[in-house]
Amino acid sequence: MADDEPGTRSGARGAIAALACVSLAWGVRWLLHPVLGNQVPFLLFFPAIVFVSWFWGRNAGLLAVALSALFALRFLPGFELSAAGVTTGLMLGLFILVGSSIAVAVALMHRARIDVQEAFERSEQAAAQLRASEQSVRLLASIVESSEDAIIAQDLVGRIIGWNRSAERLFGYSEKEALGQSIEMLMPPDRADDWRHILNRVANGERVERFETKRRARDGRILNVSLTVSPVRDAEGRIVGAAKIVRDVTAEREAQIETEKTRELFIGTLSHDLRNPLNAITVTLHTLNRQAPETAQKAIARMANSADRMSRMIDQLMDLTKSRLGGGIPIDPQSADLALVCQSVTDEFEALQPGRTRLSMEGNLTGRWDSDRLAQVLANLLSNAFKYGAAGVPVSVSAKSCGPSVVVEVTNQGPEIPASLIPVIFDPFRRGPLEANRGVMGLGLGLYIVREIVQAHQGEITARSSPTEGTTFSVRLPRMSESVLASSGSRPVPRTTSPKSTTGGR
Amino acid sequence: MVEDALETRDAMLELLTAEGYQASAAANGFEALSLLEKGERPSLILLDLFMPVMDGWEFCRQLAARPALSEIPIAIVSATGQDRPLPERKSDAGHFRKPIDLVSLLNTIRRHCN
Repeated sequence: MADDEPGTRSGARGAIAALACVSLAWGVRWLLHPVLGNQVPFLLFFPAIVFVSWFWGRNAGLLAVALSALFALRFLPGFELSAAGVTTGLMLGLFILVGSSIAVAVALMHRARIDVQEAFERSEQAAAQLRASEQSVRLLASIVESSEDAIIAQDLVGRIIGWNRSAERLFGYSEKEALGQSIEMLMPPDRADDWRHILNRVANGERVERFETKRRARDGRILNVSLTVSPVRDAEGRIVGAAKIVRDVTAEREAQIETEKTRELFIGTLSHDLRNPLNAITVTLHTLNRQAPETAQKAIARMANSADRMSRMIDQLMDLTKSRLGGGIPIDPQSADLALVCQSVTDEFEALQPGRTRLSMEGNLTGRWDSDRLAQVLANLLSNAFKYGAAGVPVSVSAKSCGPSVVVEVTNQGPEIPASLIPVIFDPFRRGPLEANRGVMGLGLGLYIVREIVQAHQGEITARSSPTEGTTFSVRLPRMSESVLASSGSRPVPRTTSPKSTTGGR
Repeated sequence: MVEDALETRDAMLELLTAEGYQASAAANGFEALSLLEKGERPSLILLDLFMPVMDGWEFCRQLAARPALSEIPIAIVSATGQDRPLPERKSDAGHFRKPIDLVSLLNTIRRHCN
């Protein structure tokens, strides 16, 4: 320390200060000489030593002692070593001893004072930090307390170590009752081990989010809850427990069941109440048609067509309702041959407009699908192609095997679909240009239902369009193994259909 | 013809009569069962499912429990029936969804009644 630059500089400052103070003390003592004579020659050197030691440290203080002795010997009148003999030597020695002790003691006191001051400042800072952290702990605690969700902390063996007011409300145990208990007390009998699995995951540093399960309240009520559990770590980052946010979703679940019931009722009513009168109209028209004169038959045919169209719209609305409110359009997959489906659907269109469809098929086109629903897909795509394609130009249908899938494409020539429309073309209630509909508007649900059916088969549908290549809708259908079906959640639906004539196979 | 909707019932009766069949109507399963117990023996029963008093499912159970009647063919003519399994029938003449595809219904009737 003494060798480095600031040490040398402060040493120099101490020496100058010692010289100045000792000179001043000597000067004053010299002026007082006529009054004091040879009495107390060192009197004024002591304050100088104290002063120098306090402000410039021990070394400067000792230098001041040495300088004082020198000044006293050289410049104090009547204070001469040779003249005074032994007494003067003794006094001088005594002065050096006492002066040095004072210098050391004062310097130590000063150091101690600085240390105390620094310690005091440090403790002030620590207290301020503590106050700040206490404040944030209080803030956190008040957030936890005021949370609508129950918040529970537990250690790694499942003992409850934190329990907020919402937890009291939800489970019926007070904080006092809950703390220290095992979390097991909240488990319903059929999920006794639930918490262990969750805790194991959390102990591995995982976070469990919105895990829906059941818990038991104090009064035995079983609650539907959603859990979010995160690990709690100590200062070293070790996982020491779990913080659990418990949301009561019982009311939500009940509302869901209620909605489900309303939905079933709505679908039932829609289909039953709308179809019955329509049925009466269709049957009556059929009877009328048998007896009506030639002139009335055109009108009857028109009414029959309208009734048919209305019936199709009801079917579409039903499908929309099922796909939107329920879990998608139900399908009933069976062993099926897409070749038969393609053939029968194109035959129907051929019957209406002979020579307008071109069908090509290659490879194995069998799989597990709902044939009726796939016929609906194909019929819908074909009717679109007829409607929006260039008049009189053939529409081509191709089906080919593609490994684990089958790809069916329907292509028509004619005006291209604008690129901006392609991404939304499968959205419900989208309709093509008015003129193409020739004044007969549908609901705009056709392509939406097509996509829903394809997706229910785990397949995908895409559309592409260009002025040169025309417009193509491409459907890729995986052949669907039993395992895929099991995970797809499709439920079998009993359905009987009137057999349609199927001309030709492959 | 077992059907609770008056318009549908009347329209079907008119059609069947016009087609040259003899038909009688009941507004629910209970009425139909009474007609059968009085001795009526149709070649085919056209049965709606959702009806008051006695629905199509219960009617089929009642019929199956009566050996004299259990063999009569039944065709279901219903607006719904997708969300619940169709009733068990000893002699099943098919299922027609409303609005009915009349051509195939009349074919079925012809098969059973001529």
